[in-house]
Amino acid sequence: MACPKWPWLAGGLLLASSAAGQFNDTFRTTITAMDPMTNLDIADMRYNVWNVDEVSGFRSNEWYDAWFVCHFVATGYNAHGVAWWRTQDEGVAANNTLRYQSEPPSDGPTGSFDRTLEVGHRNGTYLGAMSGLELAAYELNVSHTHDTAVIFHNITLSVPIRSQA
Amino acid sequence: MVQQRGPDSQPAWAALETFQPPELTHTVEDGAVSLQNMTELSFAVPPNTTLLRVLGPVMHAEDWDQTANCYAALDPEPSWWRPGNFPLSTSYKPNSGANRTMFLLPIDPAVEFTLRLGPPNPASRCVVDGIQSYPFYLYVSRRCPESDYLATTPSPT
Repeated sequence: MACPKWPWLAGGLLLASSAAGQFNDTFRTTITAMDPMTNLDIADMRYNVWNVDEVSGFRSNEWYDAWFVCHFVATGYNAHGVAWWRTQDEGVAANNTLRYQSEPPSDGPTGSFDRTLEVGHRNGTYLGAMSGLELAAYELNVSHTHDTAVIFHNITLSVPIRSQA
Repeated sequence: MVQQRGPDSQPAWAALETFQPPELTHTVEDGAVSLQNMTELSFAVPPNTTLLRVLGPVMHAEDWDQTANCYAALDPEPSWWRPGNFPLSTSYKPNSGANRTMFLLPIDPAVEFTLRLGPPNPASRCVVDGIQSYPFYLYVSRRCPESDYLATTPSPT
């Protein structure tokens, strides 16, 4: 037969097997505020509220409604930094939450993803973390209210890779 | 008023008189490629690549109305691709620097991809320093998992 009918089947099996085994390890890397994957100078830098530490590269702001964005393709992240409240009053502090949102930049036919994580740490050393995410291109938006001060250090990403491990 | 444009409305040399050179699509500045006017840079990813790292400079914005953004797309679509969901990056920062991480893209080493980079809208430009491709037979250090240290091992032959 000049035109066999089985190659599409073989190709389908090959694709299925490679999709299942394309990654077997995780690569962890740290992204700073100076990497283009992060954006602390959103839209219009004239009104930017994030201060820059020229030595460490850390970004900080106090008592502003502010947020930062990180774009990544990963299955998890861990944002490092420090946050504290304006007041010691626990009743007021309950409103002063850090919000974390991970969502694709636009809603596709496959549906949207939206997760919010509230971090209530006082003087904590991390700004939030998620793991076990479905691999996708995410936009992480970390925001806080003007009753909170934040120092952003960096963010560690978990990127699946294939290795010989 | 409607201007009639027939075959005899202009002499033949009028096309040369009104010729506009094509708009500048890219420039090279300090070793970085600056893509403008929706120009794409395509890169044939080497075989057996499992991770792509796209490097780019960060810089001050001279004009705040400008933007320096990039999208990354892969052809064929990787397993994690969703319609309309592009990885993005932002190059304008308070400080200047070079070879910063713009994208980290995990890909199937069994598939040969073409990477495409470009500005996501006509008003922005996309500045790229370089592209690193990590083959899957890299050894990832276990002793220091928080670092991005990578060491190569000889490829199996």
